[in-house]
Amino acid sequence: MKQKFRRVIRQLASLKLAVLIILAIGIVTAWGTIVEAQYDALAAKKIVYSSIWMIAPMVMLVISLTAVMVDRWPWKPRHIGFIFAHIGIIILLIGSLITQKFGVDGSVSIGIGEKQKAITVGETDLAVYSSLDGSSYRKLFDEEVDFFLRPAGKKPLVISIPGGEIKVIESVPYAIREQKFVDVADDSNAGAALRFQLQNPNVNMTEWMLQSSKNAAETKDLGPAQVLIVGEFPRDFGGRNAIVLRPADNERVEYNIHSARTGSIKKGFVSAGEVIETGWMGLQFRLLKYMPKAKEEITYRALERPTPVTTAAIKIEFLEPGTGKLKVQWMGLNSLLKLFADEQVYVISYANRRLPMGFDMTLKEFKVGRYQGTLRAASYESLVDVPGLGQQLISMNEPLKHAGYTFYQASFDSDPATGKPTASVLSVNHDPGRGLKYLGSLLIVLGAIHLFYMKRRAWMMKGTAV
Amino acid sequence: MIHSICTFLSATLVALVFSLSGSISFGADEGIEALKRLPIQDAGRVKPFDTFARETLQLVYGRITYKPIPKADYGSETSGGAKPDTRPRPALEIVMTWFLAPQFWDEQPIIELKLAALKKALNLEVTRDRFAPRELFGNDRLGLVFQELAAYRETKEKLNPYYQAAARLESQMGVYQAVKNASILRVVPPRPAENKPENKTENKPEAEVVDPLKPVEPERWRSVSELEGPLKDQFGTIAKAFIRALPGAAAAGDADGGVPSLLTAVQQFQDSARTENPALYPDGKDIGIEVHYEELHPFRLAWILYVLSAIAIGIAWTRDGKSNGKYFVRAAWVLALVAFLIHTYGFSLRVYLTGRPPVSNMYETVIWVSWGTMLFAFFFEWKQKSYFVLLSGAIVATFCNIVADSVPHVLDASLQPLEPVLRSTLWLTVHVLTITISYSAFFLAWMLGNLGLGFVIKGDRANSSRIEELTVSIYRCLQVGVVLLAAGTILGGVWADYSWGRFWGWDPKETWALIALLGYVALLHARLSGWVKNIGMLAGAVVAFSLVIMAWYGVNFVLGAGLHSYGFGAGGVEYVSAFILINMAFVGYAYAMNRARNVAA
Repeated sequence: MKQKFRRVIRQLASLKLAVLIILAIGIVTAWGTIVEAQYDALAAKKIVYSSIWMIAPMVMLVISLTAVMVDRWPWKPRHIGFIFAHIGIIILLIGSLITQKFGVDGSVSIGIGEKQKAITVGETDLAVYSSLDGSSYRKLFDEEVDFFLRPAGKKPLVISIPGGEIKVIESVPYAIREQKFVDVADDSNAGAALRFQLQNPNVNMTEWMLQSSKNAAETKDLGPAQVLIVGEFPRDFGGRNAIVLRPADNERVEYNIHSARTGSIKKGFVSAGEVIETGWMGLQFRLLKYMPKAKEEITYRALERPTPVTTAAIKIEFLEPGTGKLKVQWMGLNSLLKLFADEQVYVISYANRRLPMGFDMTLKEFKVGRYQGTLRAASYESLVDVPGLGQQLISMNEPLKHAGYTFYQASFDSDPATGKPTASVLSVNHDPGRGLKYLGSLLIVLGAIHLFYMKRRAWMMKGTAV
Repeated sequence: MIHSICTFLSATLVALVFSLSGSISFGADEGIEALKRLPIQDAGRVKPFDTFARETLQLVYGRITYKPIPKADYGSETSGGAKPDTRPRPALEIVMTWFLAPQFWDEQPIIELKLAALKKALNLEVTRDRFAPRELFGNDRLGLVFQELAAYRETKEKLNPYYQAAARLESQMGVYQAVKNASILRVVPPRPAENKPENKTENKPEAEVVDPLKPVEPERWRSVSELEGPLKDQFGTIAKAFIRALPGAAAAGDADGGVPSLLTAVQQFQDSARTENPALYPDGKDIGIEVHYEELHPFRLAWILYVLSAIAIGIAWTRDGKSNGKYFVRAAWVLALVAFLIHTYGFSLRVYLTGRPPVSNMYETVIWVSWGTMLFAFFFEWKQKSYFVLLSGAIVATFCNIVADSVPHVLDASLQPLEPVLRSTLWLTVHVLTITISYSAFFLAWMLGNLGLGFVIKGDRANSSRIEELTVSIYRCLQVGVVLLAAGTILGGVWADYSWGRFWGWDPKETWALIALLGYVALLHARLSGWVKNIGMLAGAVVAFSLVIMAWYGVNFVLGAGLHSYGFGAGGVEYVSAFILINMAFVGYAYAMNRARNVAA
C-alpha cells in the first residue's frame, strides 16, 4: 500500500508532467488575452479565466507541487528554496481562490454632491414587479441571470405572471442603444420633441429634447446657458442665459431668450430650419426639427464586438394577461422596462447587483488636475464624506479604507457636451485573500532567490549528465 | 599597442561627436543657439523651441530634418536669391520659416501621407509620400474623409489603419495651420491674475469667456498670435533677426539697418516674457540640458561604439590564440565601456528631464533593456571570461539602439508627461524596472542561443566546448531573468493591489509577463528533468524569447491594436513577425543539421 502510494506520488511529481502543466497554463492564459483583445475583460473572465480550462490545470499544478514536495521527504537544508517556492505558489493560489469566493470587487459611481450607499458588482439580476395603482409594487420574480454564458436565444427564460407570461427570448452581450423620436399624432397627451443646434466659432452642438408629456417642463443645462421647453413661460429666468421654448402649433415654436447680462428678453416664433441670434456669446440657435407630438423609442442594435458605448441587452416577449396580445421589446442592462396591461403595470428590472455597504458616502467635491496648457488629466481626486469618519480625500494611488472595504479612485464621468466632470467612479474592493497572496508571493521570491544560489551547480550537472 | 588603440579610440570619439552635432546644428551661431532655448509651452509641458520644432517636423514631415527637393528654389523665398540648396535643413529653421513665409511652404511637399488607401480615397498620386499643404487643403474629398473619421470616432471603436492615417493627417494639417498662424507657438506665460481656477469661469465678465462650454486649460501660455504691444514687437524683431541670421541671407549681404542681432532679440523677448510671470517662466538650466540631450543624441553615439566593440571582438575571435588577439578584446572592452557610459549618461539626462525613471513607453524600455543587457553582459563576461557574452551584449545593444533611433513613429522618443495612474508611485517604478530588466537577461540569452545554434550548424562535436560554454552563460542569464521576472510580476501584483485593489486582474501586459515567466520556468524544469540538453537550451533561449517579444511589444501592437479587425499593419507588426519567423526557421535549420549529423555519425 505504502509503496503504491509512493509510486503514484512519484508519477504525479514527475518533472515532465510539471512542464506539461506549466505549458498548459501558459497556453490557456494566452488564449485568455486573445479573447480579451477580441472582446473584453468580462468575456475573457467568463470564457477562459473562470472556466474549467483554467481551473483544471491549476488544480493539477497544486497536486503536482504537493506531490513533488511529498516525494522529496525527508527534506534537507538544500531543499529550502524549492519548498518555499512551491508552498508559496500553493498559498498564492489558495489566496486567489478565497478572493474569488468571498471577495467583493465592484464600483461606486457618485454624482457630485450626491449620496451613494451601495456597491455595484458584476453579477446581474432580473426582477419583475407588478402594481395595480403604480405606487405599491409586488415582487413576482427575482433571480440571478447570466445571459453571457447562457444566452436566452438558446434557452429562453420564462416568467409566468397571473394570466400571462414574460419571456426573455434573446440576449446579446454587446448592443448599442439607439434613441428614436417618432410622431404620435393620435396621442393627445404626448409632448413635443425638438432637435436644435447651438453654434458659434468655438461651439457646435446638436441636441434632442423631448417633453415627457404635453405641457411638461424640461430643462437642458449647457454650462452657462440653459435650454428649456415649457407649457407656460416663466416670469423669472433665474439670472441666467436661457432659451425658453413653448410649442405653439403644429409648425411653430414660440421662444423667449433671456440674456443674463442685460436682463432683456427676446421674443418670437421659430419653425424648423430657422436660425435665431441669441444675443450672447455670438451663439446662434437653429431649430433643426420640430415634432409637436412625439414619443421616444429605444431600440438596441447588436454588435459583434464591444466598444466603450455598448451594453448588454435582452429582448422581452410579453403575453398580456386578459387580452392575450404579444408585445416584443428590447431593454438594456441597468434599465427598467414598464409593460402596461389592462389592469396592472409590470416593471422589469435587469441590472447589475447592488450590495449595500452599510453606510453612505457623499461626494463633496471632485477635482481634475490637468497638465499645463492642456485638457489632459494629470490627476483626479474625490473629497467624500462618510458618517463617523468625516471628510476623506481619495486620490489616485491613495485609497480610503473603511469598514473592510477599500475605495480607489478609478475614473470619472463627464458631461459629453461640456467636458466637465459630473461623477466620480471609485472601485471598491474587499479582499479576504490578500494576506495569503502576499505571504505566498514572499515565499516564492525568497525561494527563487535561494534556488538561484543553491541549485545552479546541481541542475547543471544533472542536465548534462542525463 | 594599447596606447595606439586608445589614441585611435579617442580620435574616433571626437570625430564622431563633431560630425554628429555638426550635421544637426547650423554652426556655432549664438543667436540660433539662444532661439533653440526659447521656452515654449506644448503638449502639457514647457520645452525648448528646438525640441518643439523637431517634434512638429517629425509629426508633419516624418523626419527631424527637412531635405529640400532639388528643383525647389527654396532660397529665393525666404532669404533673397541664394542658390538652390539640397542639404538637409534643421527643424528649427523650417518651423520658423513656416510662419514667416507660409506662402512658400504651402507649395512644398511637407505633409507626409503614406497609406495608399487614404491616398486613393483623396485622389492623390499613390507613388508620392509627401504632399504640399495647398494640395491637401484644396482637396475636395478631404472634408468627406474627416467627416467619416468624426462619425467613426463617435462609435468609440478602435481606429483601423485607414482612420489612424486620417487622424494623423488631420493633426498634421491642424499643426501646420497652427504653426502658420502662430497660434500653437505659446511663448509667453499667463499673467498671475489671468490664471483663475476653473470653477470661477462662470463669474467672469462675458467678454473674457472664450469658450464657456469647455473646461479651462490651466496655466495656458499665450501664443504669438495672441501677443500685443511690446511683446508682439519684440517677437517680430526675433523674426527679422532670424531671417538675417539664415545662412543664405548672410551670404547675400542683407543690410537691414536697425535690426539687432538674433541673440539680443531673443534675450530681450525672454526678459519681457519672464516679467509677465516669473514664477512660471523656466530658468535656462533645464531648457539648456534638454537642448544638449537632443543635440548629443547619446543613444546613437552609444550604438556606433557598440558596433565598433562588436567588430573588435570579431577580430579577436579570428585571431584566437594569436598574441595580439587579447588587445582586441581589451579594445572591445574599452569601446563597450565608453559606449555604456554614454548610454548611461543619456539615460540619466532623460531621467533628470522627465523627473521619473524613463520606462513609460516602448522607446524608453528599448533603451533601458539594452542598457540592462550590457550591464549583465559586463558582469557575466567578467565572471566567465567568455567573449561571446560581451559580443552578444554589444550586438543586442546595437540592435536596440538602432531600432529606437530609426522608427520614431512607432517608438516615440519625445519626452511626454505621464498618464494619471502611472504618476508618482514607487511600486510602479520598481515593478516596471524589474520586469523590463529581466527582459535584458533574456535578450542576452537569446543572442547567446543564436550564436550557439550557429556553432551547432557548423558542427556540434567540433565546437562542443563552445556550446557548453554558451549553455552555461545562457543558464546564468535565465536564472537571473527568472528571478527578476518572478519578482517583477509579483511587484506588479503589489502595485495593482495598492493602486486598484486587485492583486491580479488579468491585465494583458501583466498576463503576458506571466506567460513568459511560465515559458522560462518550463524550460528550466525541462532541463532539470533531462528532457532538454545543451542544444535544447540554446534553442529554448531563442524560442522562449518570442514570449518576451509578445509581452513587451506584442501586447501593445498586436493585442492592443485589436486582433479582430486588422491585426497586422500598424507599428511594424509585419517586420517583427518576419523577424520571429526567420529566427524560428534558423532554430529549425540548426536542429535539422544536428539531427542529420547525429544520424550520419
